[in-house]
Amino acid sequence: MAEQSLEKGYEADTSLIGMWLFLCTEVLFFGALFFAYFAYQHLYPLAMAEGVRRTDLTFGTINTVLLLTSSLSISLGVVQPRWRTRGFVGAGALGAAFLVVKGFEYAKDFQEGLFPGPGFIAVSRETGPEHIFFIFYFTATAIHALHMLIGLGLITYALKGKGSPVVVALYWSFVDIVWICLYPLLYLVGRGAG
Amino acid sequence: MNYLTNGWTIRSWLLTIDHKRIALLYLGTITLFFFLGGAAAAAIRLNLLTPAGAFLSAEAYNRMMTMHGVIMVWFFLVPAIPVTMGNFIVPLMIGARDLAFPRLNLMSWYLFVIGGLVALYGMVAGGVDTGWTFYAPLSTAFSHGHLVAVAVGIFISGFSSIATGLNFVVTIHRLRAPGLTWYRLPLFLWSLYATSLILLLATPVLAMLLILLVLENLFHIGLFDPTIGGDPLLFQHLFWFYSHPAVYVMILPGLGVVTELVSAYSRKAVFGYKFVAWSSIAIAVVGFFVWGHHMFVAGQSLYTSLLFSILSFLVAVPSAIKVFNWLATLHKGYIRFDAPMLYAFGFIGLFTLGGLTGLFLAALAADVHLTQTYFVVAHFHYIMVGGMVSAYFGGLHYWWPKITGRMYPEMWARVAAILIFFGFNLTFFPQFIIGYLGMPRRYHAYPPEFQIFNVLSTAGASILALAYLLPFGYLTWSLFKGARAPANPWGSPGLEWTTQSPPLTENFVEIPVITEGPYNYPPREGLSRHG
Repeated sequence: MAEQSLEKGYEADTSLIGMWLFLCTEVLFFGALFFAYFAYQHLYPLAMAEGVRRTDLTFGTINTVLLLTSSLSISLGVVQPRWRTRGFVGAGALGAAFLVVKGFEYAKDFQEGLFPGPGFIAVSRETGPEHIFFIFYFTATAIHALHMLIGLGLITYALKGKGSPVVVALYWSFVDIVWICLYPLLYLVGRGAG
Repeated sequence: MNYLTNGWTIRSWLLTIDHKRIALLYLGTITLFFFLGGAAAAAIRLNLLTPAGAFLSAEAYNRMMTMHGVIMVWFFLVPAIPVTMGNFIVPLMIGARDLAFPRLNLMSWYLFVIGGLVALYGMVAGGVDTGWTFYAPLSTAFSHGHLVAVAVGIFISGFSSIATGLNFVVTIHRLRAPGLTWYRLPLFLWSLYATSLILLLATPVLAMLLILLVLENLFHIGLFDPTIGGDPLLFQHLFWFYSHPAVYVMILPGLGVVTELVSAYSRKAVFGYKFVAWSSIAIAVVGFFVWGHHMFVAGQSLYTSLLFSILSFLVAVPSAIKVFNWLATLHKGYIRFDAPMLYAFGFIGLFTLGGLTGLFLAALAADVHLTQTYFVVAHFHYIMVGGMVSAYFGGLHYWWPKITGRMYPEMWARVAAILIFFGFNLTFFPQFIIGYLGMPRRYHAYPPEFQIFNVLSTAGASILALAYLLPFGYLTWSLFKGARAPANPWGSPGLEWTTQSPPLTENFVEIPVITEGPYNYPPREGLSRHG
């Protein structure tokens, strides 16, 4: 009801619904990539496992810890208004640290010739097309990093007292959840085998 | 004072957050794209006058065909009704002052324009020769053109689709006037709601696919390249997961407009309101599970094809519900043959024909024969042009007095409506026949025995082109010289007709309170209210 939209609380609710809907589109967006990943996982299980073994578990695990802590921090900032600034600043700092670590990891990946394309260095020809794993690795992590950058922008925006903190935190948690799905697929599944 | 006279500066238009002004910005943009895509179609039809191809080389023909497809699908058909009539009418129909996110609405227009310009740059600078489907590995290994620019353009305009869909869903949930329950919503809103759900859930998949396509073209990552282990079928799965539901994005708003028109011009409540409402949702839902019928001959497993075939037949059920309910609405109605109703009648016939020929294509055995022929071209043009474009014009005429405050010239409008129907059938009916006879689509040349049908088709296309220019001419004329429109020229009971024409910037002086359904016509002698 239009008259009600003037009320602050009603407006915040509306933007929260908007964010939930946007996150639904994000699920389908990443979903397409995951679908393609599983299709190739089914076609070339050995080559995909070979790819997992070549990612850097240390960097990946450090980043997982950073991001989960960051989500905890932003959640505390939402549930407890006294901690709002501290929580959001903490979340932003940890998020930025994630991106720095990711940058170092990318540098190492490029050095090892992991980027798919003409310069890709495969371990063996017998397991199948190994470059395909790294298409997912780079696409997924780069798009995830882009989402992190947007999230950092939103956090800065919220710290200036604009927008709804809950909506920003919701978005940040979603970016976190995407990583929770990516971490096992890119660093863990199949690492022990072979 | 109304929304048109509220500010005359360019700034007051380009930075407006009024849904009605944004609708007009969109209307101008969409019209431009419609004529660009139409020009490409004209080039195609002219070229096919002679079996050897009248004036386009194979390369130029492929570029024209791709340009026609890309512009018409992404820059006209998908946005057309939602961003113009939807933007304008949704808040008026639900008794709100604007959409839920007015600034997001303005941003969606800018994204649309930027996306359109980037895609146009690609099509003018070098063109794309793959067809609008961009199938890999054709688009990744053998294409020579500006595919990256076009893909990026479509990607950007996709955000505009998502923003519009999101805005409509939230608006319909949150901003309904007091007393306006879901079953009191005009059926146009049910169809727009269903459309928005598809926009929200299908567009992101296309976005991801376009990213992969661009990466493939820039870095040759080899995701869809079968020579190094890539799977080209995966491309088709992801593409049609978006593009088949997108077909329903194009037609569902048309179905909604026609429902409004049939009720308004037979002065009767829509027969079986709940069935029509839920059939929109059903089309949206089932539409997500039929994409494989584009891939019957692409090499997917037979059992997959069987499933997709059965599911495709299922879409016919909610579609038929709509057609039968329109006919039942007409029964014992007080029918007026005004121009919008002529478009609606044209729609019902052409949509039915397009739908029934779709059943041929959903049947596995028939499809193997008909796929990649002009039968397919005729089929989807019956839905997209015969159906959707007719509905677009019907709705535009119906709401024109509300949008502009001027009446359109009725006689000219009727002439245009009839010409469009006639020209359309002459263009596309022969294509059913040559398709059945085996003429493949997407070629710049063809065997001489098909010439007579192609000449007929081109003749029809010239009539159609003229008929499309007519509304452009007389509607522009009516902006300046048309008679002033009263608040409710058609005697319709909808909420949008209770406010002045053109509406105030804030739509309503006072937010109305709703106590009855949307099609509450006074009962006539010997006629029950609900038909």
